[in-house]
Amino acid sequence: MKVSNDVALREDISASVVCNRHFQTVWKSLKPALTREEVNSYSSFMKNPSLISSGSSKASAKQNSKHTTSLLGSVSTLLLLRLRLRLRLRLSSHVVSSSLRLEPSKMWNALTEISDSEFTLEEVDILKKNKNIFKDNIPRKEVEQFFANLPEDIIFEILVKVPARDLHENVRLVCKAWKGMISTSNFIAQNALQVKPKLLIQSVTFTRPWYVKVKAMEVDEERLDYKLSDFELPQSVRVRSSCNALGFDPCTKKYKVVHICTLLFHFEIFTIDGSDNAWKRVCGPWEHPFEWPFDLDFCLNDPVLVNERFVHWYVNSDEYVISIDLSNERVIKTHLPDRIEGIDNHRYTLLELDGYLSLVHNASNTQIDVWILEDFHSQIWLKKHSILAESIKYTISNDSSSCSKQENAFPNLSKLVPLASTRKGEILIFKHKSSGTDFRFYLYETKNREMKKFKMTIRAQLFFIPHASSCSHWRTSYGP
Amino acid sequence: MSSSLEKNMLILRSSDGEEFIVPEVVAVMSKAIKNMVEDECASNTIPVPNVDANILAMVIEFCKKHDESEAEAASDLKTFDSEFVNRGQEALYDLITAANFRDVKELLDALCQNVAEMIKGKSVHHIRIQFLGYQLFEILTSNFIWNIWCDRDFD
Repeated sequence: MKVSNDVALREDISASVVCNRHFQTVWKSLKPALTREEVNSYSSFMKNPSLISSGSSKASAKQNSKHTTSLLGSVSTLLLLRLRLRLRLRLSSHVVSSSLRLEPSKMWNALTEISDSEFTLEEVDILKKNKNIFKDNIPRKEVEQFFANLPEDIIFEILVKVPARDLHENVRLVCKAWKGMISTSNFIAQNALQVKPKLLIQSVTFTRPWYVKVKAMEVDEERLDYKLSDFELPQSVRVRSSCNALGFDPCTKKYKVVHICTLLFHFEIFTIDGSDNAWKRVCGPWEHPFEWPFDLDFCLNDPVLVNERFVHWYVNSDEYVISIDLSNERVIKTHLPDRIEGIDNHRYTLLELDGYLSLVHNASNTQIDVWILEDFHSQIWLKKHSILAESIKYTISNDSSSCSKQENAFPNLSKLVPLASTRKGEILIFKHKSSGTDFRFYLYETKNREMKKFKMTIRAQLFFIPHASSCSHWRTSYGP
Repeated sequence: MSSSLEKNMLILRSSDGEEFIVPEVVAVMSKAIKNMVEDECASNTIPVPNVDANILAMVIEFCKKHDESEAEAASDLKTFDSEFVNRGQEALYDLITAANFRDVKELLDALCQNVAEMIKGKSVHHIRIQFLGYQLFEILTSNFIWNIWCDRDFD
C-alpha cells in the first residue's frame, strides 16, 4: 500500500487518488522474495527434517506468505502442499484456494501422494472415478458454481426431488444454506410428496435367536415389475408401523403413538414432542368384555393408517372396524358398507388406497370388490372397482416359469389377500393365502386389468408394511 | 411486422439475433410469453433476451414435442423428457435459467428431476466440487487445517 502511494506521488505530486494502475506498477516491480534456490532448500529440508531449526522456517514463512501467487509457476504442486504443512498452515484456507488454481492433472498426482490427510482413500477413489468432472476445458465460472448462481426457489425445486436418504447422508452436509433449507418443515412435507411408496417385507424367524430381515420392495410403475433392496434398521426389530405411518395430527403438527391395552378396554395415546410426555388414556368403543367381537386369544394386527391421521384396526368383526381420529383422539366403530350382504369376517381386508381407507372383499372365487370409505365422519362407502376373473389379462414373470403348471394357473381370487397399493391406488399387490415354501404374489393393474404373478423364496413368516422414506425426524428434549 | 406470416405464428428472437418462427400454441407454453401475448403488448416478434439461439432451439424443441404428444402415451413423453434433459452441466445450467426466466413449467420440472438424479448417491465432496465450484484443494486443505488444528500442541 505504502509503495503504491509513493508511485502515485512520484507520478503527480498533487495526486489524491491511488488507482489500480499504480498498484499494477508496484506489483510488477516486486520480486518474489522466495527464489528457486530457497524452494529447493525447503524441499531438501523435507527429505531430512532433522536439519531444520523450526525457528528459521517459521520466520521465513511469515516473510514469504504474501508472495505465493507469483511463486506458483516454479513450484510443483506437491512441494507447495508440503511447504504449506511445514509452514504450519499459517495461511487461511481462503488464501490457499485463491492461489491454487491448478491444472487438473497435477491435482491427481498431488492427491495420490498425500497420505496423511483425513480425506479417506475411498473418497479419493470415488472422486477419481468421476474424473471427468475435472475436464481440461474449464467451464464458465457460473456453470462451475452451478448451484451458487441459481435462484433459491430453483435449488428448492431440485433438492426436493432428491430421495430422503441422500438428503440425510450427503446433501445436508454440503453447506449451511442447504442444511437450513432441508430442515424447514415445508421442505420435509414437499419432499415426502415426491417419494415413491415402498412395501417393507419383514421375514421373521420365530426360533431363537430372533432374527428379522427387512427388505424394501419398490414397484416399477411403468412395467408392472418390482425391485428389491435391503432396508437397514439400527436393530433387529420388527417394524409395526412405518415412520410416516406413525399417526400424525394435522392440527397440532405432532406425531402420536397409539397403544392398545386389549384386556383393559382402553387405548393410550402418546404425543411425541408433546408437553406432558405421558400416555393419555382414551376409552375404547366397548364398555363390557362381552361386546368384544373377538376371542381372548385374538391378536390385533398392524393398523391401517390413512392420511397419517386415521388409524383403523381389523377386529374380527363382520359389522365394524375400530378407528381412531388422531385429531380429536376418539375411538369409534366404523361400520362396514351395508350394501355388502352376508359379509364374512374372514373375507375382507383393510388397506390404504390413495388416501382412503379401502376394504377389499373377496366376494367369490371369481370376484374381488374394492370399496373405499369416501367420507370418514359420515361413513359413506363407495365401490371403487371390481376385479373379475374373466376380464383379467394374466401373465407370469420369468422367475416363476419353472414352477409347476398347477401353481402357475390362474389363482382362485378368494385366496388372494391384498398387501398394499401403489401409484395412487392403481396397482394392487396381492399375496396368495396358501402356505407354501415360496412366497407368491401378484401385481394387479386396475386400468388395463393386467395381473402378473411373481415368486420369491423366503422361508419365514412375513409381515408387510407400506413405507415411504421422508426427512421428518424426532428430536426429544427428554433424552440424554 | 410481416403480414405474410400466418396468424397464429410468432417470431421469437434470441439474444444473439436469430429468429425462430413458432406456432403460438407452442410459444405460450412459456407463461411469460403467454402473458405477453394475452396482454397484446407484443408485436409478432417477441424478443427473448438472455437466451441464445442454441438454448432457445432446445426449449422450442421441447415445447413442440410436448404440444404434439399431449394425446400420446405419457410413458413415451417421459422417456423423451429424460433423454432431452440428459445433457452436460453447461447446457443444463443454461436451460434451467432459460426455463425459469421464461416460466416453462414442464421443462423446469424435467430439468430439476435430472439434476436431482445427478445429486443422488454422490458424496458431500463430490457435490461440492461438481455443483458449488469448490476446488479439490479447498477440500483437501480444509481437511489439513482441521487435522493440524486438532493436533496442535499450543506451543
